Amino acid sequence: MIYFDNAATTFTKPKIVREALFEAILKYGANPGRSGHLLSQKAAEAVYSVRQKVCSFFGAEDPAKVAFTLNCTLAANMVMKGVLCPGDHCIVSCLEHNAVMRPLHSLSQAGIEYDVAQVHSGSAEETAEEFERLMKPKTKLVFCMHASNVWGLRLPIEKIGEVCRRHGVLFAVDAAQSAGVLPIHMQAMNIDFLCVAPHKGLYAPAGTGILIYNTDRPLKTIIEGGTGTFSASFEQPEELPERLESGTINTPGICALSAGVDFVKKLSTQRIHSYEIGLVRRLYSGLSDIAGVKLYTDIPTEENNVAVLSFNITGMQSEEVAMHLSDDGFAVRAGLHCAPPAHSFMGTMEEGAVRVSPSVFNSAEEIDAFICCIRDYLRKKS
Amino acid sequence: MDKPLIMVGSVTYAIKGRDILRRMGYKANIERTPGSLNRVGCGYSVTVDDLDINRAKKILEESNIKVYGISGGESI
Repeated sequence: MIYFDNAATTFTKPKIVREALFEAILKYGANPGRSGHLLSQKAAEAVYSVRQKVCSFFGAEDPAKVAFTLNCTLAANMVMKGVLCPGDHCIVSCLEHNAVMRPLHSLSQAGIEYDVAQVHSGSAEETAEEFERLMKPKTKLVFCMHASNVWGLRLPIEKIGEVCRRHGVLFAVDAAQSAGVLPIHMQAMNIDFLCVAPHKGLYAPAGTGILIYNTDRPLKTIIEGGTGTFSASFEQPEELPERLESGTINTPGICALSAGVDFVKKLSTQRIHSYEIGLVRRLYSGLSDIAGVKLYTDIPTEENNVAVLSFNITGMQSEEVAMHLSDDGFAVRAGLHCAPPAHSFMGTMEEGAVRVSPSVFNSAEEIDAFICCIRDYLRKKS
Repeated sequence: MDKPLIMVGSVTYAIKGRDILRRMGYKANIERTPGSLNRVGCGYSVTVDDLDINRAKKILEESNIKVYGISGGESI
Protein backbone atom coordinates (compact mmCIF):
# COMPACT_ATOMS: atom_id res chain seq x y z
CA MET A 1 0.00 0.00 0.00
CA ILE A 2 1.23 3.52 -0.71
CA TYR A 3 0.90 5.36 2.57
CA PHE A 4 -0.21 8.97 2.33
CA ASP A 5 -1.67 9.31 5.82
CA ASN A 6 1.38 10.66 7.65
CA ALA A 7 -0.63 13.49 9.19
CA ALA A 8 -2.34 10.76 11.23
CA THR A 9 0.94 9.04 12.05
CA THR A 10 4.12 8.55 10.09
CA PHE A 11 4.67 5.14 8.55
CA THR A 12 7.06 3.56 8.03
CA LYS A 13 9.41 4.45 10.91
CA PRO A 14 13.13 4.80 10.17
CA LYS A 15 15.36 1.82 10.86
CA ILE A 16 17.20 3.65 13.66
CA VAL A 17 13.88 4.26 15.43
CA ARG A 18 12.89 0.60 15.22
CA GLU A 19 16.32 -0.42 16.45
CA ALA A 20 16.26 2.10 19.30
CA LEU A 21 12.88 0.78 20.42
CA PHE A 22 14.13 -2.77 20.48
CA GLU A 23 17.36 -1.82 22.18
CA ALA A 24 15.47 0.05 24.89
CA ILE A 25 13.28 -2.96 25.58
CA LEU A 26 16.43 -5.01 26.04
CA LYS A 27 18.58 -2.50 27.96
CA TYR A 28 16.24 -0.07 29.73
CA GLY A 29 13.59 -2.39 30.99
CA ALA A 30 13.49 -1.09 34.57
CA ASN A 31 11.16 1.64 35.73
CA PRO A 32 13.18 4.90 35.60
CA GLY A 33 13.56 6.80 38.85
CA ARG A 34 11.50 4.47 40.95
CA SER A 35 14.11 2.21 42.51
CA GLY A 36 17.63 2.69 43.71
CA HIS A 37 19.17 -0.12 41.72
CA LEU A 38 21.48 0.42 38.79
CA LEU A 39 18.98 -0.69 36.16
CA SER A 40 16.45 1.90 37.31
CA GLN A 41 19.14 4.55 37.33
CA LYS A 42 20.28 3.53 33.85
CA ALA A 43 16.74 3.87 32.55
CA ALA A 44 16.42 7.27 34.24
CA GLU A 45 19.67 8.43 32.63
CA ALA A 46 18.40 7.33 29.22
CA VAL A 47 15.17 9.27 29.71
CA TYR A 48 17.00 12.36 30.96
CA SER A 49 19.23 12.37 27.90
CA VAL A 50 16.09 12.48 25.73
CA ARG A 51 14.79 15.41 27.76
CA GLN A 52 18.04 17.21 27.00
CA LYS A 53 17.84 16.39 23.29
CA VAL A 54 14.22 17.51 23.00
CA CYS A 55 14.92 20.67 25.00
CA SER A 56 17.70 21.61 22.62
CA PHE A 57 15.75 20.66 19.50
CA PHE A 58 12.85 22.96 20.38
CA GLY A 59 14.88 25.83 21.82
CA ALA A 60 13.50 25.39 25.32
CA GLU A 61 15.28 26.52 28.44
CA ASP A 62 15.43 23.58 30.79
CA PRO A 63 15.38 19.80 30.17
CA ALA A 64 13.64 19.39 33.52
CA LYS A 65 10.66 21.17 31.94
CA VAL A 66 10.28 18.54 29.22
CA ALA A 67 7.49 16.19 30.28
CA PHE A 68 6.49 12.99 28.51
CA THR A 69 2.77 12.43 28.29
CA LEU A 70 0.56 9.76 26.79
CA ASN A 71 0.10 11.82 23.63
CA CYS A 72 -0.22 15.35 22.30
CA THR A 73 -3.94 15.47 23.13
CA LEU A 74 -3.22 14.85 26.80
CA ALA A 75 -0.52 17.53 26.70
CA ALA A 76 -3.08 20.00 25.30
CA ASN A 77 -5.58 19.04 27.99
CA MET A 78 -2.95 19.49 30.69
CA VAL A 79 -2.21 23.00 29.47
CA MET A 80 -5.77 24.22 29.11
CA LYS A 81 -7.10 22.62 32.28
CA GLY A 82 -3.94 23.52 34.14
CA VAL A 83 -3.97 27.19 33.21
CA LEU A 84 -7.58 28.27 32.84
CA CYS A 85 -9.92 29.05 35.73
CA PRO A 86 -13.58 30.12 35.65
CA GLY A 87 -13.77 33.71 34.46
CA ASP A 88 -10.66 33.41 32.28
CA HIS A 89 -10.66 34.02 28.55
CA CYS A 90 -8.86 31.97 25.90
CA ILE A 91 -8.25 32.62 22.19
CA VAL A 92 -7.91 29.84 19.63
CA SER A 93 -7.71 29.80 15.84
CA CYS A 94 -10.53 28.87 13.46
CA LEU A 95 -8.70 25.69 12.38
CA GLU A 96 -8.21 23.88 15.67
CA HIS A 97 -8.27 20.13 16.19
CA ASN A 98 -10.63 18.54 18.71
CA ALA A 99 -7.60 17.98 20.93
CA VAL A 100 -8.02 21.68 21.69
CA MET A 101 -11.70 22.27 20.97
CA ARG A 102 -13.16 19.47 23.08
CA PRO A 103 -11.38 20.34 26.32
CA LEU A 104 -12.09 23.99 25.61
CA HIS A 105 -15.75 23.24 25.08
CA SER A 106 -15.78 21.30 28.34
CA LEU A 107 -14.13 24.24 30.10
CA SER A 108 -16.58 26.70 28.56
CA GLN A 109 -19.34 24.90 30.39
CA ALA A 110 -17.47 25.57 33.61
CA GLY A 111 -17.21 29.33 33.17
CA ILE A 112 -14.29 29.81 30.80
CA GLU A 113 -14.89 32.08 27.82
CA TYR A 114 -13.18 31.76 24.48
CA ASP A 115 -13.03 33.48 21.12
CA VAL A 116 -11.96 32.19 17.72
CA ALA A 117 -9.44 34.10 15.61
CA GLN A 118 -9.76 33.98 11.84
CA VAL A 119 -6.76 32.73 9.90
CA HIS A 120 -5.86 34.62 6.75
CA SER A 121 -4.01 32.26 4.47
CA GLY A 122 -0.82 33.85 3.19
CA SER A 123 -1.04 36.89 5.46
CA ALA A 124 0.82 36.46 8.71
CA GLU A 125 0.18 40.06 9.75
CA GLU A 126 -3.58 39.83 9.30
CA THR A 127 -3.75 36.55 11.19
CA ALA A 128 -1.73 37.94 14.10
CA GLU A 129 -3.95 41.04 14.12
CA GLU A 130 -7.01 38.82 14.48
CA PHE A 131 -5.57 37.35 17.66
CA GLU A 132 -4.65 40.78 18.98
CA ARG A 133 -8.08 42.14 18.20
CA LEU A 134 -9.66 39.51 20.45
CA MET A 135 -7.44 40.21 23.48
CA LYS A 136 -9.28 41.25 26.64
CA PRO A 137 -8.09 42.14 30.14
CA LYS A 138 -9.14 38.65 31.28
CA THR A 139 -7.39 36.82 28.43
CA LYS A 140 -5.10 34.30 30.07
CA LEU A 141 -4.15 31.93 27.27
CA VAL A 142 -3.79 31.80 23.49
CA PHE A 143 -3.74 28.25 22.18
CA CYS A 144 -3.26 27.62 18.49
CA MET A 145 -1.98 25.04 16.10
CA HIS A 146 1.20 25.69 14.19
CA ALA A 147 -0.22 24.08 11.03
CA SER A 148 -3.60 22.75 9.96
CA ASN A 149 -3.98 18.98 9.86
CA VAL A 150 -6.63 19.40 7.13
CA TRP A 151 -5.53 22.20 4.82
CA GLY A 152 -1.84 22.41 5.61
CA LEU A 153 -2.09 26.13 6.32
CA ARG A 154 0.69 27.45 8.48
CA LEU A 155 -0.02 29.90 11.30
CA PRO A 156 2.44 32.70 12.10
CA ILE A 157 3.29 31.55 15.61
CA GLU A 158 6.28 33.89 15.80
CA LYS A 159 3.99 36.91 15.36
CA ILE A 160 1.25 35.47 17.58
CA GLY A 161 3.86 34.82 20.26
CA GLU A 162 4.98 38.41 20.03
CA VAL A 163 1.37 39.58 20.47
CA CYS A 164 1.03 37.37 23.54
CA ARG A 165 4.24 38.68 25.02
CA ARG A 166 3.11 42.28 24.59
CA HIS A 167 -0.18 41.51 26.33
CA GLY A 168 1.29 39.33 29.09
CA VAL A 169 -0.76 36.34 27.93
CA LEU A 170 0.41 32.73 28.01
CA PHE A 171 0.96 31.16 24.60
CA ALA A 172 0.52 27.46 23.88
CA VAL A 173 1.23 25.87 20.51
CA ASP A 174 -0.11 22.60 19.17
CA ALA A 175 2.86 21.42 17.12
CA ALA A 176 1.29 18.10 16.14
CA GLN A 177 1.69 18.79 12.41
CA SER A 178 4.83 20.90 12.52
CA ALA A 179 7.33 19.33 14.94
CA GLY A 180 10.14 17.91 12.84
CA VAL A 181 9.05 19.84 9.76
CA LEU A 182 9.01 23.54 10.66
CA PRO A 183 11.54 25.37 12.83
CA ILE A 184 10.35 25.86 16.39
CA HIS A 185 12.35 27.78 18.98
CA MET A 186 10.32 28.26 22.12
CA GLN A 187 12.41 31.00 23.64
CA ALA A 188 12.73 33.03 20.45
CA MET A 189 9.04 32.57 19.60
CA ASN A 190 7.73 33.40 23.09
CA ILE A 191 6.05 30.00 23.39
CA ASP A 192 5.15 29.08 26.97
CA PHE A 193 3.81 25.59 26.29
CA LEU A 194 4.59 23.33 23.35
CA CYS A 195 2.52 20.21 22.72
CA VAL A 196 4.18 17.68 20.43
CA ALA A 197 3.03 14.47 18.76
CA PRO A 198 6.34 12.64 18.23
CA HIS A 199 4.69 9.83 16.28
CA LYS A 200 4.10 12.24 13.40
CA GLY A 201 6.96 14.47 12.21
CA LEU A 202 9.54 13.02 14.62
CA TYR A 203 8.96 9.49 13.29
CA ALA A 204 8.65 8.04 16.80
CA PRO A 205 6.31 5.18 17.69
CA ALA A 206 2.87 6.10 18.96
CA GLY A 207 2.36 6.07 22.72
CA THR A 208 4.25 9.17 23.85
CA GLY A 209 3.53 12.87 23.68
CA ILE A 210 5.64 15.79 24.80
CA LEU A 211 4.69 18.85 26.81
CA ILE A 212 7.46 21.42 27.10
CA TYR A 213 7.08 24.16 29.64
CA ASN A 214 8.81 27.51 29.18
CA THR A 215 7.29 29.58 31.96
CA ASP A 216 7.40 29.73 35.73
CA ARG A 217 3.60 29.86 35.91
CA PRO A 218 2.42 26.73 37.75
CA LEU A 219 0.02 24.28 36.10
CA LYS A 220 -2.81 22.72 38.07
CA THR A 221 -2.65 18.99 37.50
CA ILE A 222 -5.39 16.91 35.94
CA ILE A 223 -3.76 13.58 36.71
CA GLU A 224 -2.23 12.72 40.04
CA GLY A 225 -0.48 9.55 41.03
CA GLY A 226 2.81 7.90 41.79
CA THR A 227 5.87 9.83 40.71
CA GLY A 228 8.62 8.05 42.65
CA THR A 229 9.11 11.21 44.73
CA PHE A 230 7.78 12.43 48.12
CA SER A 231 5.77 9.24 48.33
CA ALA A 232 4.73 9.74 51.97
CA SER A 233 2.60 12.71 50.92
CA PHE A 234 -0.78 12.60 49.18
CA GLU A 235 0.03 15.95 47.56
CA GLN A 236 1.13 15.83 43.94
CA PRO A 237 4.77 17.03 43.91
CA GLU A 238 5.37 20.59 42.76
CA GLU A 239 8.50 20.05 40.72
CA LEU A 240 8.53 19.34 37.02
CA PRO A 241 8.71 17.12 35.13
CA GLU A 242 7.51 14.46 37.55
CA ARG A 243 4.52 16.62 38.52
CA LEU A 244 3.14 15.97 35.02
CA GLU A 245 4.29 12.34 34.76
CA SER A 246 2.21 10.29 37.15
CA GLY A 247 2.54 6.58 36.65
CA THR A 248 5.07 4.75 34.54
CA ILE A 249 6.35 6.54 31.48
CA ASN A 250 6.91 4.87 28.12
CA THR A 251 10.69 4.41 28.38
CA PRO A 252 11.13 2.35 25.17
CA GLY A 253 8.98 4.83 23.26
CA ILE A 254 10.95 7.75 24.66
CA CYS A 255 14.24 6.14 23.64
CA ALA A 256 12.84 5.55 20.17
CA LEU A 257 11.70 9.19 20.10
CA SER A 258 15.32 10.15 20.64
CA ALA A 259 16.29 8.23 17.52
CA GLY A 260 13.48 9.96 15.64
CA VAL A 261 14.89 13.34 16.59
CA ASP A 262 18.31 12.17 15.40
CA PHE A 263 16.78 11.07 12.10
CA VAL A 264 15.12 14.44 11.56
CA LYS A 265 18.23 16.38 12.59
CA LYS A 266 20.40 14.37 10.21
CA LEU A 267 18.12 15.19 7.28
CA SER A 268 17.31 18.67 8.65
CA THR A 269 13.81 20.03 9.05
CA GLN A 270 14.40 22.44 6.17
CA ARG A 271 15.22 19.64 3.73
CA ILE A 272 12.34 17.50 4.96
CA HIS A 273 9.91 20.39 4.61
CA SER A 274 11.22 21.36 1.20
CA TYR A 275 11.00 17.79 -0.08
CA GLU A 276 7.50 17.22 1.25
CA ILE A 277 6.21 20.52 -0.09
CA GLY A 278 7.65 19.54 -3.47
CA LEU A 279 5.50 16.41 -3.36
CA VAL A 280 2.27 18.21 -2.48
CA ARG A 281 2.95 20.89 -5.09
CA ARG A 282 3.28 18.11 -7.66
CA LEU A 283 0.04 16.61 -6.38
CA TYR A 284 -1.72 19.98 -6.47
CA SER A 285 -0.61 20.61 -10.05
CA GLY A 286 -1.76 17.18 -11.16
CA LEU A 287 -5.13 17.32 -9.42
CA SER A 288 -5.85 20.85 -10.61
CA ASP A 289 -5.75 19.55 -14.19
CA ILE A 290 -8.49 16.98 -13.56
CA ALA A 291 -12.07 18.10 -14.16
CA GLY A 292 -14.24 17.23 -11.19
CA VAL A 293 -11.53 17.60 -8.55
CA LYS A 294 -12.03 20.45 -6.15
CA LEU A 295 -9.08 22.04 -4.37
CA TYR A 296 -9.55 24.55 -1.60
CA THR A 297 -6.28 26.37 -1.14
CA ASP A 298 -3.67 28.03 -3.27
CA ILE A 299 -0.80 25.85 -4.42
CA PRO A 300 1.24 25.00 -1.31
CA THR A 301 4.43 26.89 -0.63
CA GLU A 302 7.20 26.35 1.87
CA GLU A 303 6.40 29.67 3.49
CA ASN A 304 2.67 29.22 3.96
CA ASN A 305 2.08 25.47 4.26
CA VAL A 306 3.05 22.08 5.56
CA ALA A 307 2.70 19.01 3.36
CA VAL A 308 -0.98 18.32 3.87
CA LEU A 309 -3.36 18.65 0.93
CA SER A 310 -7.07 17.95 0.98
CA PHE A 311 -9.46 17.80 -1.94
CA ASN A 312 -12.83 16.51 -3.02
CA ILE A 313 -14.42 15.02 -6.09
CA THR A 314 -17.50 16.99 -7.00
CA GLY A 315 -20.69 15.18 -6.14
CA MET A 316 -19.05 12.51 -4.00
CA GLN A 317 -18.63 11.98 -0.30
CA SER A 318 -15.00 12.00 0.73
CA GLU A 319 -15.22 8.59 2.43
CA GLU A 320 -16.38 7.01 -0.83
CA VAL A 321 -13.36 8.41 -2.63
CA ALA A 322 -11.03 7.27 0.13
CA MET A 323 -12.47 3.76 0.01
CA HIS A 324 -11.85 3.54 -3.70
CA LEU A 325 -8.31 4.81 -3.17
CA SER A 326 -7.75 2.18 -0.49
CA ASP A 327 -8.98 -0.52 -2.91
CA ASP A 328 -6.43 0.78 -5.38
CA GLY A 329 -3.63 0.70 -2.81
CA PHE A 330 -3.50 4.27 -1.46
CA ALA A 331 -3.86 5.07 2.24
CA VAL A 332 -5.45 8.47 2.83
CA ARG A 333 -7.86 9.86 5.39
CA ALA A 334 -11.31 11.21 4.62
CA GLY A 335 -14.03 12.86 6.67
CA LEU A 336 -13.62 15.65 9.17
CA HIS A 337 -10.13 14.75 10.49
CA CYS A 338 -11.17 15.50 14.09
CA ALA A 339 -11.10 19.16 13.09
CA PRO A 340 -14.65 20.38 12.42
CA PRO A 341 -13.64 24.06 12.70
CA ALA A 342 -11.27 23.59 9.76
CA HIS A 343 -14.11 22.20 7.69
CA SER A 344 -16.47 24.97 8.74
CA PHE A 345 -13.77 27.38 7.64
CA MET A 346 -13.74 25.90 4.11
CA GLY A 347 -17.41 24.94 3.86
CA THR A 348 -16.75 21.19 3.77
CA MET A 349 -18.69 20.07 6.84
CA GLU A 350 -21.16 18.15 4.68
CA GLU A 351 -18.78 16.11 2.54
CA GLY A 352 -15.54 16.28 4.54
CA ALA A 353 -12.42 16.05 2.43
CA VAL A 354 -9.84 13.55 1.22
CA ARG A 355 -6.52 14.29 2.85
CA VAL A 356 -3.14 13.39 1.36
CA SER A 357 -0.10 13.83 3.61
CA PRO A 358 3.22 12.47 2.34
CA SER A 359 6.41 12.00 4.32
CA VAL A 360 10.09 11.73 3.43
CA PHE A 361 9.46 8.09 2.60
CA ASN A 362 7.11 8.96 -0.26
CA SER A 363 8.25 9.69 -3.80
CA ALA A 364 7.27 11.72 -6.83
CA GLU A 365 6.43 8.47 -8.63
CA GLU A 366 3.93 7.61 -5.92
CA ILE A 367 2.34 11.03 -6.26
CA ASP A 368 2.08 10.53 -10.03
CA ALA A 369 0.47 7.13 -9.50
CA PHE A 370 -2.07 8.73 -7.17
CA ILE A 371 -2.93 11.38 -9.74
CA CYS A 372 -3.39 8.68 -12.40
CA CYS A 373 -5.67 6.76 -10.05
CA ILE A 374 -7.92 9.78 -9.52
CA ARG A 375 -7.95 10.54 -13.23
CA ASP A 376 -8.84 6.93 -14.13
CA TYR A 377 -11.52 6.81 -11.45
CA LEU A 378 -13.24 9.90 -12.78
CA ARG A 379 -12.94 8.68 -16.35
CA LYS A 380 -14.72 5.42 -15.44
CA LYS A 381 -17.42 7.27 -13.55
CA SER A 382 -18.22 9.65 -16.42
CA MET B 1 31.65 8.72 58.32
CA ASP B 2 28.56 8.53 56.12
CA LYS B 3 28.87 9.86 52.61
CA PRO B 4 27.57 13.44 52.39
CA LEU B 5 24.37 13.64 50.39
CA ILE B 6 22.61 16.62 48.83
CA MET B 7 18.93 15.73 48.78
CA VAL B 8 16.95 16.89 45.76
CA GLY B 9 13.39 16.34 44.57
CA SER B 10 13.66 13.61 41.98
CA VAL B 11 16.00 11.57 39.85
CA THR B 12 15.65 14.25 37.16
CA TYR B 13 17.16 16.91 39.44
CA ALA B 14 19.72 14.49 40.76
CA ILE B 15 20.98 13.81 37.23
CA LYS B 16 20.79 17.51 36.35
CA GLY B 17 22.74 18.46 39.48
CA ARG B 18 25.30 15.73 39.00
CA ASP B 19 25.89 16.83 35.42
CA ILE B 20 26.35 20.46 36.48
CA LEU B 21 28.97 19.45 39.05
CA ARG B 22 30.71 17.11 36.62
CA ARG B 23 30.91 19.84 33.99
CA MET B 24 32.67 21.92 36.63
CA GLY B 25 35.17 19.10 37.04
CA TYR B 26 33.94 17.53 40.28
CA LYS B 27 33.42 13.83 40.94
CA ALA B 28 29.69 13.73 41.43
CA ASN B 29 27.24 10.83 41.41
CA ILE B 30 23.64 10.11 42.27
CA GLU B 31 22.00 7.67 44.61
CA ARG B 32 18.70 6.98 46.23
CA THR B 33 18.20 8.98 49.43
CA PRO B 34 18.18 6.55 52.37
CA GLY B 35 14.83 6.26 54.06
CA SER B 36 16.37 7.18 57.39
CA LEU B 37 17.12 10.65 56.01
CA ASN B 38 13.94 11.11 54.03
CA ARG B 39 10.81 11.62 56.07
CA VAL B 40 8.63 12.39 53.04
CA GLY B 41 9.56 9.17 51.29
CA CYS B 42 11.33 8.43 48.03
CA GLY B 43 13.91 10.78 46.66
CA TYR B 44 17.33 11.04 45.13
CA SER B 45 20.53 12.70 46.21
CA VAL B 46 23.66 14.01 44.63
CA THR B 47 26.98 12.95 46.11
CA VAL B 48 30.26 14.68 45.45
CA ASP B 49 33.65 13.42 46.60
CA ASP B 50 35.95 16.37 46.02
CA LEU B 51 33.97 19.45 46.96
CA ASP B 52 32.70 20.88 50.22
CA ILE B 53 29.08 19.81 50.55
CA ASN B 54 27.83 23.31 51.34
CA ARG B 55 29.60 24.70 48.29
CA ALA B 56 28.04 21.95 46.14
CA LYS B 57 24.61 22.76 47.60
CA LYS B 58 25.07 26.42 46.66
CA ILE B 59 26.04 25.49 43.11
CA LEU B 60 22.89 23.43 42.71
CA GLU B 61 20.66 26.11 44.18
CA GLU B 62 22.17 28.72 41.90
CA SER B 63 21.23 26.40 39.03
CA ASN B 64 17.58 26.46 40.14
CA ILE B 65 17.71 23.00 41.68
CA LYS B 66 15.83 22.94 44.95
CA VAL B 67 17.83 21.29 47.73
CA TYR B 68 15.80 19.70 50.48
CA GLY B 69 18.64 19.08 52.83
CA ILE B 70 22.12 17.71 53.20
CA SER B 71 23.03 14.69 55.22
CA GLY B 72 24.68 15.37 58.46
CA GLY B 73 22.50 18.46 58.69
CA GLU B 74 18.70 18.47 58.88
CA SER B 75 16.78 15.60 57.28
CA ILE B 76 13.76 16.35 55.06
